[in-house]
Amino acid sequence: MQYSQNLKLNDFFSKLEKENYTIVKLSDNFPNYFNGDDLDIFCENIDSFSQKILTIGNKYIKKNNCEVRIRQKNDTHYHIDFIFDKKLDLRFDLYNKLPSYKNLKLKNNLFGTILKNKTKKQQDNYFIYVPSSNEEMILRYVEFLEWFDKRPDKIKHLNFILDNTSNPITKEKFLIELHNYIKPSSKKTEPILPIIFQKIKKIFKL
Amino acid sequence: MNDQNLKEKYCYFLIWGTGLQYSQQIINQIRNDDNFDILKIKYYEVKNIKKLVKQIYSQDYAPLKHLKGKTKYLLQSEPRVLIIFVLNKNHQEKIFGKKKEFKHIECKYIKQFKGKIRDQFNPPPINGKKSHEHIIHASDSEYQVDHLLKLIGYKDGIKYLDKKPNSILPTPHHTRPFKNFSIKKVDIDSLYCYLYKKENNSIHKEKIELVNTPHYKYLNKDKNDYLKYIDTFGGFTLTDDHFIENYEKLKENFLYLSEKKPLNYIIAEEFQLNNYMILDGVHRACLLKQQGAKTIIMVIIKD
Repeated sequence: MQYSQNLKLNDFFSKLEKENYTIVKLSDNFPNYFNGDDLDIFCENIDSFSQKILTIGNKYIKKNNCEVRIRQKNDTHYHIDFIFDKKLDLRFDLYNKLPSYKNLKLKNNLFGTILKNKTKKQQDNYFIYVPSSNEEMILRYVEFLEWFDKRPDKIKHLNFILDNTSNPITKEKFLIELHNYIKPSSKKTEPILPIIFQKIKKIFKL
Repeated sequence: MNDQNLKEKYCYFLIWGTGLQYSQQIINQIRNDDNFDILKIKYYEVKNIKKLVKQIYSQDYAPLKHLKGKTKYLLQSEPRVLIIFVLNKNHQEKIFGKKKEFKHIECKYIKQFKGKIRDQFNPPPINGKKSHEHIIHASDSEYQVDHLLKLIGYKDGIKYLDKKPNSILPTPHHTRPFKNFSIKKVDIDSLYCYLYKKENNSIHKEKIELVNTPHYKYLNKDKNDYLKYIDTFGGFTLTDDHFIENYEKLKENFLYLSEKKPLNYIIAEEFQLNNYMILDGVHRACLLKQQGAKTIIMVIIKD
């Protein structure tokens, strides 16, 4: 599969350094991406962040057969979709609050902590921001739990966690922080949790 | 109320019937002052001028009895006022008045501006004394703006001016709220707009192609239709600043989606497959057409 050649993500992120944001579950391919990919971004000011994306987007609308579709699903979650030749090329999936998950509830203060503890990642001549390693693992863990029964490809998140917790100290630190941010689950989710925890136990050899 | 920036406050200027002949000159001065953004220009037909004077000044700092003599001249004036609502970007709150009963807070800048207008257009001094037959009044507070808006029929009061139809894009307060939209290039010849028509004393809206609007004809040296249009509807059904002087100002060095205003898109909705009704930006679309543009980047509202 070939990377999309439509957007240069460097154009966007080199101008977003002043925003308080973090790209979660960042792909190793970044700044490359495939057609139809999405970028999950937590940001402090979702409107200001969107304005910057659209400002840069104007350049692409002017030159190419590009359309930008914006859906403000609610006050805390926006989609900004770049469409080329009527096909979704890239989605900026923006949040200024933790998304709600069905299978696991997280404490709301995790969102602020993720932004506070974000780390800089050097690109060519600018920085992007990503969550600290521990918080990145929490988000991937939640994502895996949310989708593992429907999307087999989400195993990649678990693999990421395993790769990053080979050191027992790191593993313990991650588990402590994870449990610190988990809220008791609702009745609806109860039946699924024992299965999940069994799987996790096995994987982590706990 | 406008809490975003303490230096920015909503305000109004009210031109009494005695000053209506100078209204264009006064609007020009307000428009040319960078401290003001004109939000709404509205004529208000007065059924009972005495009642209106009382209602306006009942919100004033000075006790009404002190104003009775001072406002007597207004009772003979034309029963129509022109109100210009603005965003004052240079709010300078200060306490004025020496005696206890006259002490009040108002914006120093508005007071100065109002004074300048009065010096120019109030009746000439008699025996060296300045006339107090003021042709213009201005609000001292946002509370007064709220009160006047409600008085002339905007039941939401100041909230009406404060409306933000979309949290990402700068859009005029009177656009309908929207959360789903796309930004794309649209064929300029697929653009339409609504035009007001007056027939048999009733006003209705008519769908018209951009090239057939008085706004477009104005740019092609056929100015009469636009002048007539603004003369008929300006300050009544058209309450944005659509006056000729503002159109001319827009025309000078017009650059759409410039570096300073990259998100000021023309806003439209698709009313028929590939045909679009402009909801905001008819003047800008006409200027682009006249500049030779074949397509325009614009916002298409989807909800």
